[in-house]
Amino acid sequence: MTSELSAFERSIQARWRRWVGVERPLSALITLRVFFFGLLSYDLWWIGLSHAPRYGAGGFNVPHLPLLASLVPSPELAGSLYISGGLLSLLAALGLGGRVTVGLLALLYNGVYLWSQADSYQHHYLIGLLLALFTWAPLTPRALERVDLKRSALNLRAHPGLDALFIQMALIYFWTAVAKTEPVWLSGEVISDILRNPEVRQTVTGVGASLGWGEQATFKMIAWGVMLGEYLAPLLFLIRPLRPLGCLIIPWFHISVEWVGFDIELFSYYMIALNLCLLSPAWLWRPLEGVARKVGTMRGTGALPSWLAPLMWCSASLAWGWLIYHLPVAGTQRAAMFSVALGALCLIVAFKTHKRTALSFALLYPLLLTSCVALSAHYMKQSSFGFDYYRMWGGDLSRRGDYARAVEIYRRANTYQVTLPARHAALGSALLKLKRFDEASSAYEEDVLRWAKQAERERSSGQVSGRSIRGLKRAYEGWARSYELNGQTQNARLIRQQLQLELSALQAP
Amino acid sequence: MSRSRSKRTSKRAKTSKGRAKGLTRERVPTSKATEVVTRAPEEDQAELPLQPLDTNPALTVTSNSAHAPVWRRAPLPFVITLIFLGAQVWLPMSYYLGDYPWDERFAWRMFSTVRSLNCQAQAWEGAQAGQASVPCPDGQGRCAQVRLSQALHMVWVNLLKRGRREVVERFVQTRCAQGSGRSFYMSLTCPHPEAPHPLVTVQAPTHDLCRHPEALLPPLNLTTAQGAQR
Repeated sequence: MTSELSAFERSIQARWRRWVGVERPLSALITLRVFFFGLLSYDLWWIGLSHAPRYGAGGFNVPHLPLLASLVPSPELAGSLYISGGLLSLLAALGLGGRVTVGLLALLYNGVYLWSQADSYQHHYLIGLLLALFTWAPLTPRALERVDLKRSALNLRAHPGLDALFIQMALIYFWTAVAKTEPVWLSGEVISDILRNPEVRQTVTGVGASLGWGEQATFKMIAWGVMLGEYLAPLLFLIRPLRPLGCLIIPWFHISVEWVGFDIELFSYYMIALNLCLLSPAWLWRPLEGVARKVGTMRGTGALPSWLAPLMWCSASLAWGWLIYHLPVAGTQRAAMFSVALGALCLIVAFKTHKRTALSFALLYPLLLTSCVALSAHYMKQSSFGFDYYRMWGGDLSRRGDYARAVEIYRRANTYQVTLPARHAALGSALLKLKRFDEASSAYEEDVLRWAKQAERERSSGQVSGRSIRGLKRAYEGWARSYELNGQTQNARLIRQQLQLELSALQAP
Repeated sequence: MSRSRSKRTSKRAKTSKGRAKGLTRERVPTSKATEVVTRAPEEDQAELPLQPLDTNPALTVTSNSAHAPVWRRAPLPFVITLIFLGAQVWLPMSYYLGDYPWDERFAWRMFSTVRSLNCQAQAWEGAQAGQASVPCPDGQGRCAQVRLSQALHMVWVNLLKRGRREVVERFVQTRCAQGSGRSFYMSLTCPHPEAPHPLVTVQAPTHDLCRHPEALLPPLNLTTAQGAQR
């Protein structure tokens, strides 16, 4: 360590710093941390969690790593890992727990990713890679304090982890460009296929027409433009003086993808946040530097009583446990235990470190985290999240002939849809397969009531929709069939007559 | 302002003095780094010109051994990162050098042509007594066609349509393990990535895969396959 640098090393270092080396303002790195991990937290709780029932469905799983083949995940375990990951991500967004939190999150996310190909799109791969890099790159408060200060004016940070992050981004864009260097893409055929939204298509072809190009020529030009732009992007990431130009150009690829309406989950949002935080000129961040130093590195006034932090974190961890336990998904027990354990870790930190008297650590962060968890839990219950989660799971079980489990899952789905038509018909159908006729009849009867109410509501507001008529017919038919199969044909006939009366009443002016 | 500036200058002078004594690669305690980070914001208003660090020590504050190259400062993370980034070069390259164009998992091929092509997967299982049946694909015995959506979650059916070999392999293994001696046949055909996209047979239903596991996913010669199809 103490040996002098060779002339060669000096020369390489100087050139690297001048042309490639990354220096970012503190506020840019903290903004990246908050955006990236905040978005990931949302991603894990609202998108990832809704996919949990597909993990290990029917005892079938294909991992990325063959050595994990003998271990089959379960929806409950996948759900608890996603919930825990979301909570860890919130902690990471605020910089709590430092690199340990980020490392644990990287381990958890990549563990789930490698365990199953069920969610194996480019976006999941990207997040896995970035999390691995963020474990080293200086995004956490302590790491940010320890990195080199390069220029006094803007408090710039340089770190090899940041260089690695830029190289990673350059590689991604390079390979996407290579993928587009082929005749089918360059013919504009794929662009024409992607642009399905008529309004977007009209706008694009309109712009092309104003330049004197026909429709095919416009798509061809876009295809060539995208390919060339993606070859340019790695250079804009790697060559230091070109980075501000990259900030002006590269985000438009991702904005365009969102405008076109192509569903690639949150991929574009991650990329836009990364581009803006990594490539924007340092001077843009000047107004945020003061705040970043105080809040982002968890530096407080130090004036709060030392008992406050342990009390707040203890209350917060219990609140997380309770809120998570009552989420409308499977596997909340493990996740609740994990969240309490995380809170306990924060509690230990609260006792041990100098941060216990800081305003942010002792008061703001526990309140903010608990509010985020509480808001998510509240909206999950208020929205159709729980219903969708269980109805799709029930649908899969029913398709694969696991009717006993499907009945259980459909019943849970129906508890989250208390007034509108739910999955009573599907429940009735599964019960019929199990020859539980009386229960099936009750389920169909409930379905009839829900659809009748729905149709009545629609009639009072104007016109009854075809969907409601179909729902009503299906519910009555199922109800009649459940009696028929039970040997009560008279009841079945009466129900069918009732359907006719109901339909004529609905169609009456 | 001028007073605080002079204080700062003296602090930096100490650091540059340390550097002059050859202490640049020595670790400065964290408290010093903290001091540096928490300077008053008003001191940082004027943007200073970018200069090479070595030529302008007055502007450079090193909180740790900043001037040693990274491979000396943190050799392990450096090597791990090199391997990590090397893998990012190798994985997509292996896609282009390989002979299986339908598995694009690690190749960053968003909006590729292959993405828009759908493979066709079919499976047959030895028929049980009373089950509706057709002749098995190899002509030996009676078979029932397996409805994939009833056998697997839709996510796996979709991955079969995207030609994932691992899913085919695992599916065959699982069915053979569950089938208690029943025969099992699988077929997977995928459109060639190049126009006019002739169908390429990835897995032919010519063998009972439970009895002849060696017939599962034979090596694929894409050029020959395309030529044969044409």
